[in-house]
Amino acid sequence: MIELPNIQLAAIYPEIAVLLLAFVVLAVDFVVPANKKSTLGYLTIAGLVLLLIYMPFAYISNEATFSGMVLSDSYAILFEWIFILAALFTVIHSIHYLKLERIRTGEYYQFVLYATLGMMVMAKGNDLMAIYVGLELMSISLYIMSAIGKDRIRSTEAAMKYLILGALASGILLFGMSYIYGLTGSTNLYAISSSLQSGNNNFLIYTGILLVAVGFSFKMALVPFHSWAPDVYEGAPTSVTAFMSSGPKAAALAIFLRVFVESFHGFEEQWTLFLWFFSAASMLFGSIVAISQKNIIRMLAYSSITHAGTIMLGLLAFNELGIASAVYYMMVYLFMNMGAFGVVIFIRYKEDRGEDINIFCGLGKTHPVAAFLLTLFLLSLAGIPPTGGFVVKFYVFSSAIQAGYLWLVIIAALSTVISLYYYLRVIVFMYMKEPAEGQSVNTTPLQWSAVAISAVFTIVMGVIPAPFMGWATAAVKGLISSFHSF
Amino acid sequence: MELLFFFLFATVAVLAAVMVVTVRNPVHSVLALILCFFQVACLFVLLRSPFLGIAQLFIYVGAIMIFFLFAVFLLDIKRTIHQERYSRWASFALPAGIIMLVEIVLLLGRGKFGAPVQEQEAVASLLNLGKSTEAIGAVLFTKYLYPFEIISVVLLVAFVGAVVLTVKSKQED
Repeated sequence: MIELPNIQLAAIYPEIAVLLLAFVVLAVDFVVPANKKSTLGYLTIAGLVLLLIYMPFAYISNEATFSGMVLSDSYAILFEWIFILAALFTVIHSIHYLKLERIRTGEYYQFVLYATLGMMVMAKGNDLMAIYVGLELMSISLYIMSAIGKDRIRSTEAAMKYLILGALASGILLFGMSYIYGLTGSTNLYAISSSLQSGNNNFLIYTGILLVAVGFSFKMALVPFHSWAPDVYEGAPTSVTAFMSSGPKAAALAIFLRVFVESFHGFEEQWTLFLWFFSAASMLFGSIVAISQKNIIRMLAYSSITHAGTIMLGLLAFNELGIASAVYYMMVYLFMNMGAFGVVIFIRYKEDRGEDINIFCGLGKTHPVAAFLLTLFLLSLAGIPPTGGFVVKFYVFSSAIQAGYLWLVIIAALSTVISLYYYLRVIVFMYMKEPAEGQSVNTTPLQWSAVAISAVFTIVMGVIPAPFMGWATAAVKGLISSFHSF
Repeated sequence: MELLFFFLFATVAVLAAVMVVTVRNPVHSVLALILCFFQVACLFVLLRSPFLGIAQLFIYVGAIMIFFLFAVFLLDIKRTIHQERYSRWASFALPAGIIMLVEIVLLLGRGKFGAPVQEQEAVASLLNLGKSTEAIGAVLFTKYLYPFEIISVVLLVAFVGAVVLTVKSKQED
């Protein structure tokens, strides 16, 4: 007789909803004519908005279900908010952009949903198996999305690079996971934790932890596993880049924190050694290389590498403040990054995407609102008060100082100073130079409202951080309790 | 005796995998990969899991690799490009690879995998050779139900993705 596992279906209602929405979009795609594919976009937006309305009532429990595979705790739910918002913004920014770029693939919207589903599975995964399957679902959807601008050679090149390097990273991650499984006899995060706590470990475990960290770092684009990011970000359609730099990064952070805090907390001394290096290298390399970028998307790509390195400070600090502020950082990063990309998407140069930094010259005179909003997002990315970018940097730095990482904070401050240069340069170009020729703004009211919402949240999260930080702290309580009990 | 066979299969599998990336002719690469998969199938049989071994043969060797072979025949890859890329990176890659290999050997020599694999024991009651299919089916639809369902979505994505990326070019021409 086969024993049935304990299944709490309510724990995966949001996942089921996203999958159903993807199926509806798939079905409607067959009856919509080729020139009306934007209908699918509006359908997706409607579905995601409904899901956002449901999210406050989502099932929250600290008990894992599906034989310990799914843990729908408040930490996972917080990250699901981030993923759904990232998907929603992406679809809003995509509809008009895809028309301009003459991408008529209705399936595009489905892949946004599949990737979102993959990220949600990762955030709720309490088992290396579920985490890995979610990661692959997300990655495969992203490979296809970055190839969808297929008429451009660069898009195909980007997808190819992403696919090959991504497959390599998956291989390394699986290799690491197999070490962990071989040493602990389980893939469940709690079981791994208790097996490692019982002592008697040999140092193969360090190899396993290192390989897992490398796999996760690739998805977060930390130096030295970043080399795919600038090329893929530049080559893929800009709307896909906006999605890739916020959603999947948040998903990678979600599993990074969960696996390292829940399972590997006993080896903090060892893994901080190499994470220290990844973090410091990302902050320095990202900000220094960004200086020489003439393409604004490449610049934002390097800036996202810098931010990933800064976020890792929170995990390295390894206290409640640090982990909560890493989560809060990701929330703010979603809005400021999505906002910056949202503006960059609708700046056009003649018939093409406006990505060269010179196209932004004089934008302050010709399109003052767009220039103002972009300035706001860039200042937030640079970490200038009173924006959200300042507050999160402040939290992360102070948590790292509490934990005694003085040198790392000095490096972080240095990288912030360097990064001021390239963020401010765009602002100087916009306000101090004569308008560039051929520059135009081509957008829709819906996109304006999405960018405006991003702007509002970027400021609100900087001016009244307490409720958001409180939410993040409450969410990570469950994670932290797993190691404080020892 | 079993150990002897393990080393035989494992060594050939690794050698075949090395051949996949070193052989100049892509068709030979594919054939080497088939050999590698064959050896892995043998390893599954040694692990008392004939079902996985057969599945490995049917799916990887039987279906996927044959399509690979067709794809390689159709692609007509030029060998010259192949050669250039080797010489450019070999001087970096070779030392890095050797260092990695030495590290792996050192680590494997000093550490050891001594995990009490509880799940295997639980399965073991079901598992005499004839029933391995049953045992796999039982855990697949109970313990691993969730990843199993998600995998089906992954397959759907791959399926739709393949259609999107290939059919689109026809519409535009």
